[in-house]
Amino acid sequence: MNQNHSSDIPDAIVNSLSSSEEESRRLAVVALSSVPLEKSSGLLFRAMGDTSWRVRKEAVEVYLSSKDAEHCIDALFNLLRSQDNAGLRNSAAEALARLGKSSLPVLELHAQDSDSDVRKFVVDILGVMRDPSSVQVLVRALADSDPNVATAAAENLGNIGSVDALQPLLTALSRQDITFRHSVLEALANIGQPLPVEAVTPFLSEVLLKKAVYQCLGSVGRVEAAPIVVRGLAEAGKSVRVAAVKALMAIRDRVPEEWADNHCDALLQELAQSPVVEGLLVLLDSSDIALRRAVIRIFGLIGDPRTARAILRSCRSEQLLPECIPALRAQGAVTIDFLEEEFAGGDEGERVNILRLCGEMGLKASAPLLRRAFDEPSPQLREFSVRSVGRIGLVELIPEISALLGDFDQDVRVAALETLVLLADLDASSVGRVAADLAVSDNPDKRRDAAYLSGVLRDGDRLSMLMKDEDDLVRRTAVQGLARLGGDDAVHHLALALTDEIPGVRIAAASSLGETGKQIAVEPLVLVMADPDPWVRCAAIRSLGRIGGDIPLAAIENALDEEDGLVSLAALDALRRFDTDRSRQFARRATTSGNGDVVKAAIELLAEREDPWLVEHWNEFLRHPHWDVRNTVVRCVAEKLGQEALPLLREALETETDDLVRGRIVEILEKF
Amino acid sequence: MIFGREPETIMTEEEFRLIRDLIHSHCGIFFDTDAKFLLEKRLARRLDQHQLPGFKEYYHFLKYSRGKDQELSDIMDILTTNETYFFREEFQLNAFVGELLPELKAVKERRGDRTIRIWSAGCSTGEEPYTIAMLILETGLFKNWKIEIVGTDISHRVLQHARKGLYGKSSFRTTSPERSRRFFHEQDGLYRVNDEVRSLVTISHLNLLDENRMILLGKMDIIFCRNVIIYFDKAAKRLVVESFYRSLREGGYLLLGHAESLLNTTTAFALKHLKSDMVYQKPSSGFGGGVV
Repeated sequence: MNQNHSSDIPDAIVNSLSSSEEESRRLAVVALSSVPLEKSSGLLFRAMGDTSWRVRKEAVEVYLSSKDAEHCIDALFNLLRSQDNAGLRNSAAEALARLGKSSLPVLELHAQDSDSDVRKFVVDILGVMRDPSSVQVLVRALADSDPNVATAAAENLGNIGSVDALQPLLTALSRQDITFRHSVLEALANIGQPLPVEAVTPFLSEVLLKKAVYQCLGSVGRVEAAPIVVRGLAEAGKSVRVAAVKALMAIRDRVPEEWADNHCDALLQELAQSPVVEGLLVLLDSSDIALRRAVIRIFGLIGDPRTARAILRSCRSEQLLPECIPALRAQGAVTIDFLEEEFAGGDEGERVNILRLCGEMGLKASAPLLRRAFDEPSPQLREFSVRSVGRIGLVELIPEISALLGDFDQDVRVAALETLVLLADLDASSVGRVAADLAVSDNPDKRRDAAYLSGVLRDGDRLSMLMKDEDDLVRRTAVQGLARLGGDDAVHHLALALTDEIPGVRIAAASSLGETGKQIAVEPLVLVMADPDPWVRCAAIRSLGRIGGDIPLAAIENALDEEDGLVSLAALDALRRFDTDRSRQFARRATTSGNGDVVKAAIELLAEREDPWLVEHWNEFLRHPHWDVRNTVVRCVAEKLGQEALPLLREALETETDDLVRGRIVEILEKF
Repeated sequence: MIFGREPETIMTEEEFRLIRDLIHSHCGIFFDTDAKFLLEKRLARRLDQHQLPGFKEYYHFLKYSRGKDQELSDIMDILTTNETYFFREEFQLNAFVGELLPELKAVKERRGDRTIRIWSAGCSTGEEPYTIAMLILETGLFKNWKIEIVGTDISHRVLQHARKGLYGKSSFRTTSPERSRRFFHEQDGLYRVNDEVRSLVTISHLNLLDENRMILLGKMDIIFCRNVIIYFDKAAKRLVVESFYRSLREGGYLLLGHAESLLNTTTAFALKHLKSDMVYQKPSSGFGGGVV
C-alpha cells in the first residue's frame, strides 16, 4: 500500500496537517477519515508522530476506524522502528494492540527481530493484548539475550496469568539477574497457582528479593509457607515486613481454619513479648487500611498486652472496628481497669470510642463507667454510653436510662428510648414501670415515649388509655402500638380511632388495621373510605389491599373512580396484591381515567402482570394526550416484548410528535 | 381603632340564608329567621379573624377555602351553647342509675355478656360522659365488666378540652364534695378527672349527620343525647334519630334532654315510664313503628 499521500487529498487538509496550530492539525486528521486509508495512510502515520498528543490520538482513532486498517499492519509495525520519535512508536504500539488478533501474526513474526527495542515493543503489546495464544511467544522471550525484553516478558506473562507459563517462569529463576528474578517472582504471584515453596525461598537470602518472595508466598503459599512468612514479621526492612504481614493473613485465610488455629496461630503466640511486636506496632501508622487491618488481626492472634492501647486507638476507624474488637478481646490486659484508665486520660473521641467498645465487647463490668458517662456534658458521650447499656443488656441501669428520656439532646433521648426497647426483652416489668411513670407525665413527649414502649411491651390496657390522650401525637403512637397486639380488642380500639378529629391519628389507625391482617378490620376500613381526608382514604385502601378478599377488592374498585388522583393511585397500588382476572379488569378500566398519572400506574401494573391486553390496545395508548402515558406504554411494551416490539416501536415513531418520547423510542430501537 | 372597619357589619337577608343553609347541610343545625341577629353578631368576629370585608366573602370562605372543614367545626362552638356541668339533670341520672343500669345488668347477665357501651352524643367538653362513668363506678355493679363510654362532638375545640379532662369551678355547680374528692384531683388550680374515670371514656369526633362514621362507633346499650337535637330542623332530627335507632342494640335506651321529645319525629321507639323519668327504648324484636 502506498504510504504517500495521494494528490486526491484536498490541499487544505494537507496544508493544515503542517499548520502550527494544534487544533488545525487535529481537525485535518479528522477530515482524513473521509479519505480511503489507501490514500491517507501516509499522512495518518505522519500524524501519529505529531508533537501534540491530541493529534496523535486522533490519528490512531481515524486509522482504527477504517475498514482497511488490517491491510496496512506491516507499515504500521515498521513505525516501531523509528529511532527519534517516541510518540510515533507509542501510537503505533497502541494501534497494534487495539487491532487485536489481526496484528498477532506480524507481532509473532517480529518477536525474534534483530532490534531489541522492537522485540521489547512486541512483548509489551502482547502483554497488553492478553491473548492466551501469545503465551508461548512470551515464554520464548524469557530467554531473550536482552534483559529488558526478558523482564518485560516475565511481567506480561504474570499479567496474562496463564498456568502454562508457570514452569517456564520457575525455570527462568535460574537466570542470574536480580531485576529479572524480581519480575519473575511478581509474575508467579500474579498467576497465583500453588507451587513448591522451595522454588522461591532460596531467594530470601537476596535482600532485594525478600519483599517479592513474601508477596509470592502470600499469593501462592499454602500450609508449609506459613512458618516462613511468620519469620518474615521479624524482618528489619519495613516494606518487607509489610509484605510478610499481608502474606501471612492471605495464607491464613486460605488454609483450613482448624490448621490455622493449631499451627499458624501457635507460631504467632510465641511472638508475645518479643521485639517483633514493636516492629509491627510501627506499621499501624500506615495509611493503608488493608495493612492496618492485617496487623490488628495479627495482634489479636499474638495476644501481647502491649498492643492493647494501639488497637484501642484504631477503633476510631469504622473500617477497623470489626478487627479491633476480637483483637482486644484476645488481650488479657483489656480489663475494665485498663478502659477506665484510658477513659480518664482520653480526649472526647477516645472516650466515645471506649464507651462504644464496652458495648461491642459486651463488658458487663463496664456498668459503673457507663453510668458515670450519663452525667458527662458531651451529648455524644451520653448517647454512646446509653447505647452500650442496651447492647450489654444492663437492666440494672433502666431507671437511669429512663431519666435520659428527658435529656435536652434529641440524639440522647432517641438512644434512651431505643435502649429501653432493647432492655424490654430482658426485663419487661421494669420497662413496664418506666412506661407507667411516663404515661402520667405532664410532658406529651414523655407520654409519647410511654405509648411507644407500651406498644413494644404489648400492653393493651395502657395503650387504650393513651389513645384517650389530649395530645394527638400520643394518640397516634398508641394507635401504632396497638397494631402489634393484633387481637379483636385491638381492632375495636383502632376502629374507634378512625373517628378521631386529627387526620394523622386516623391515618395511623387505618394503617394499623391493615397490619392486623384481620377480616374484622375490613368493615371499618370500608366505612372510612368516606373520610374527608384523602390521605386517610389512601391508608385505608392500602390496608384493604393488605388484608385481601372480595369486599376489599370491591372497595378498591370504587376508589379507582375517585376524583382525587391520590386515592386512585393508592387503589392501583393496593391492586398489586391481587392477581385475579377481576383485578386485571379494574386496572384496565383505570387506563381510561382522565388523570395521566393514574393511567400510567395502571399501564405499569398491567405490564407487571404481562397482560396481553396492553399490546392489543397499543394504538389507543399511542393516541393518549399525555406524553408520559405514551412514554410509559412504549417502555413497558418494549420491556415485555423485547425484539418483537420493534415493528410497534417503529410504528410509534412515525406518529409521535413529542421530542422526549421520540428520543426514548430511538434509544430503545438502538439498543436492539 | 380609628381607621378600621365599622364595628358592625350587616348581614343581608341573602347572606344569612346562604350561610344558614351551608351550616344546615354540613351538620343539620338549623337557624330560623329569628336567629339572623345571633349569626350576624357571633360570626362578625370570624370576619376579623380571617380579615374578610363582609359576610359574602365569609360565605365563599366557608364553601371553598381549604380550611373550610376546620372553620365549620370552629363556628359550631360559637353558634351552639356548650355550657354544661357534671351531674346535670339529676333526676334523669337517678333513673339511669336506679333503674336502667340494674335492668341492663340483669339482661346482660342472662346473655352471658359482660360489656356495656354507652354513647354521649354531643358531649361538648366531656362533663356528661365522665359523669356517666362516675355513676357507673359508684354503683359498684360492674366490677370486672368491660365498660365503654364514647363521647362525641362535632367541635374540635371541645374534644380537646374533653380529652384533657381539666375543669374549672363552673363545671362543679351540682357536684358534691365527696364526689369531687373521689373522682378528681387538683392540678394548676383546676380539677382533673382521675384516670379511673378517664379509662372508661373515649372521646371521638362525630358529625351526627355522618351515618357512615357513626357505624364506626359500634353498637350501643344506651345513648345520651341531651339538649342537642333542639338545634336541628325536623328533617335533620329525623336522620339523626334514625341513626341512633340503628346504633342501639335491641332493648337499648335513648335519653333525650328534658325539653326534647321524639313527637312528630318517629314512632320506632317505645316510650318507657320509669319512676322518676321517661326514656325511649328500642323494641326488643322487630321494628315497632316508623318515621312520622
